[in-house]
Amino acid sequence: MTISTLYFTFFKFGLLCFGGGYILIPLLQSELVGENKPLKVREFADLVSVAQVTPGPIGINTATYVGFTQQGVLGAVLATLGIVTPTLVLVILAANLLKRYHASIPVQGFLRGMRPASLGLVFAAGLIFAEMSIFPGAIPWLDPSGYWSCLRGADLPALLIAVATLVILMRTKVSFLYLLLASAALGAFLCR
Amino acid sequence: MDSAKTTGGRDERPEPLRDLSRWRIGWVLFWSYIRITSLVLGGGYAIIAAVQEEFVRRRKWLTEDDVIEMITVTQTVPGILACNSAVYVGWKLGGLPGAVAALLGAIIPSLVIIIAIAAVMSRAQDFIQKPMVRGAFVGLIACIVGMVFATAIRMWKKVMIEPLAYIISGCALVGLAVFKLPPVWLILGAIVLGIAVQTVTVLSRRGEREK
Repeated sequence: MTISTLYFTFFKFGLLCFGGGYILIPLLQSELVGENKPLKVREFADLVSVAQVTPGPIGINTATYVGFTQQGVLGAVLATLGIVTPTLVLVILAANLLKRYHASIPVQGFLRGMRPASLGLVFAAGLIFAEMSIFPGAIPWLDPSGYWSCLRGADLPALLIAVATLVILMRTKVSFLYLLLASAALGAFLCR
Repeated sequence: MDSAKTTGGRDERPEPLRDLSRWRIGWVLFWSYIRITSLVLGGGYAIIAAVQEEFVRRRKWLTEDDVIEMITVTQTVPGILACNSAVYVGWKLGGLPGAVAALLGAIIPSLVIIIAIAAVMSRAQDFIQKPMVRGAFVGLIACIVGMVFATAIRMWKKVMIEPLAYIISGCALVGLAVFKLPPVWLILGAIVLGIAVQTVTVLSRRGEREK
């Protein structure tokens, strides 16, 4: 892929990412992975596993890596800039529209629906992170007979870290950055 | 102003927003996002929780309501959640320069880290399989579980103000966590329902007034 195709391909992905970067992985897979396409299946599998355990937004990690494999550092920078260009324009536009038409029925209705939906999604994200750490595998929501074994398989140190973090954040003024560092250190020795 | 004082993470009283120049705000945004995205694993929601910790709880530059609005905009507009939130927070606090500063802060750590890893990708695979590295990853994600729930609990009182809110929230929660539906459908559903209910409410209120 040339430098300009990289930029515009990721620009397009940036526009298509509704509901966050999760959708990026299937998008990339269908457009960029396979025979006669820029990425091999094996390369893509490596990329997905590494992007998720590397700090930073998963979508940006993915864009940077794909860009780097195609055109080196310049490619990495352009793919990343490509995916965030629509964001810069659209978010500012949306923020202004919300402010300008704040009292109108559509905006009030939008907020009335989206505020609780956001809360639900944040809770769900918390549960999904719990499935990645405390309850390895997945929580068997639809199969109550699996609850007990899921609970028994729980990673206790991870559970303690999560509860301690919650209590400390709600009760004290300790910065979350220290909590993150301490959790990583504790996890290295105690978690599976 | 002593710059080490505000960027070291140890200051007890961050500067109030109104006393600051645009450059200073841009710098703080940039640096805060650098710190957050270079430490926080797990992508969008984890980063949003960290942003809430940094800008609401610690610096008091944003209110809970600002964060709720940030999350709604962030999820509605296409794009990567963390970057959407960076642009929104940056724009709200420092206009266009603020938005660019925060956005750059959100992407630079990824660029550096991934370029460094890409060169040794096959060995990186082995490295992340090591027990201690896996343990550290689990510990970090567990900490993020706590952070995300703290954010959700703080949002609760502001959001759960009517029965409709419980219904929409519950559907979004179950839809994503249990049935793993793509968030975009949950979001569209919530928007359509919200606008429909709001229209009915406003029209019936108008109808009553005319009687």
